[in-house]
Amino acid sequence: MIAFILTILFFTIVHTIEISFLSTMPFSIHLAPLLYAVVTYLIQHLGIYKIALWLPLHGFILDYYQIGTSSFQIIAYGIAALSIMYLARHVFTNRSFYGVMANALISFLILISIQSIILFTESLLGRKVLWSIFVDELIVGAGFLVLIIILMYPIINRLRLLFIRSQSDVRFKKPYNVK
Amino acid sequence: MFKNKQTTSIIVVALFFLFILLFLKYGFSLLNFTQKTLSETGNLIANISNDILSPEDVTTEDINNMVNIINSLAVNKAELEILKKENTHLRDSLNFTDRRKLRPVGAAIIARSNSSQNSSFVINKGSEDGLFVGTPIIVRDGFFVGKVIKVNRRTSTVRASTDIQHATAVSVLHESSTIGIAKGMSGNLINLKFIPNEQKIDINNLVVTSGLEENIPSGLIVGIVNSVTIDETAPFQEAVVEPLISLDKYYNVIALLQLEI
Repeated sequence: MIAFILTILFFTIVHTIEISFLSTMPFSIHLAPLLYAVVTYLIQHLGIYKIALWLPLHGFILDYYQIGTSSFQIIAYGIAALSIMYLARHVFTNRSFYGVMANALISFLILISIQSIILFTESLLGRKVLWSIFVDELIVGAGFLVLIIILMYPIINRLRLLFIRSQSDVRFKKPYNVK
Repeated sequence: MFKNKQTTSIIVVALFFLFILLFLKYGFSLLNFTQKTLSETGNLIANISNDILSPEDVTTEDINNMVNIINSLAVNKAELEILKKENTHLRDSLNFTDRRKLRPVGAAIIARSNSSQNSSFVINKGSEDGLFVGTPIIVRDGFFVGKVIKVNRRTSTVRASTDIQHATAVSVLHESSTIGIAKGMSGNLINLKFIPNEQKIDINNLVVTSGLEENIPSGLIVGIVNSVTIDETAPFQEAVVEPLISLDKYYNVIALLQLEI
């Protein structure tokens, strides 16, 4: 129960920072996918798989307020969450910084691919899409994803203990690098 | 042992329900306040960084003064043109004055879209405050920035006038008051479409809402004409309109509601 409340609380904080604070920032900082970076880190580095639910929840809120890149963000973020979990379990078994980075970039590419498919479908139905800007934002977004992971790696590492204590299913697991 | 476990469970469940109740009562207000504060802080940082990066020979104060003068002149010109037309048509149209009776509702921007595909933002006023789909949103003295596209109980989503999905009925303020449709385009600009080729529009003409659209009063400033494209083979000409207001610098907006009579 406490774990659930804490998870919702952490989600609310990170989500609010992304859509209320970062979105107003200059120099393309508004494209920084903070929540995405945090989720990838927590899944790949710490193995907290239930955090994957944050992404479809984020997509749902974007859909609810209609402030997402396209419609059906819940689907795009849901598939991205599944891909992060799959990559963490079967492809990048290395829990290091490079594992997190590789997982984040490949799953981010999957997220963007799903968004572009949705946008393309919408464009067939009459929606105007700025494709060149979409590609620019994809590159900048990926750049910020890398930057966030580099900058936040030491910070989140310190928050790791707090999270591990709040997640009952990983409480008694060995930390990723403890022999 | 069992008794202790049972008591702990009851306490945990009670605390959980207390949390839910408190969240329902105060959580949204707290979240709203947090979002508003974060949004304001972000705006402040953006404004400060813009100030730091502006050229040194022109001070920030100078730029602000000049922008204020331009905006105030634009407002005066728009008001003057509207007043001229009002005087002409006042006697013919009894409902016209009623259209101008508006109730402003102040709102704060609490979230924004982070993609250029969707220039929308969320404000902290909703159906409880009388907002509805189509409510015009302005900043300062009548600078049109968008329309409400979705209303919840306590929040609303506004589509900015520069969004590529946005369209508004506008008129160009000059001798013959040309009517057209303003659609958002890339680069935070507005594309003015469906202007008949025989109508002459010039650069720096003021573009305002025409009042032909339901719930959107006439005379709200949309921007100034930046360039005009005339294709002799097409029945209509197009113009690029530059908004006089950059929404990124504002965190408070005004929703214009019709006054109930």
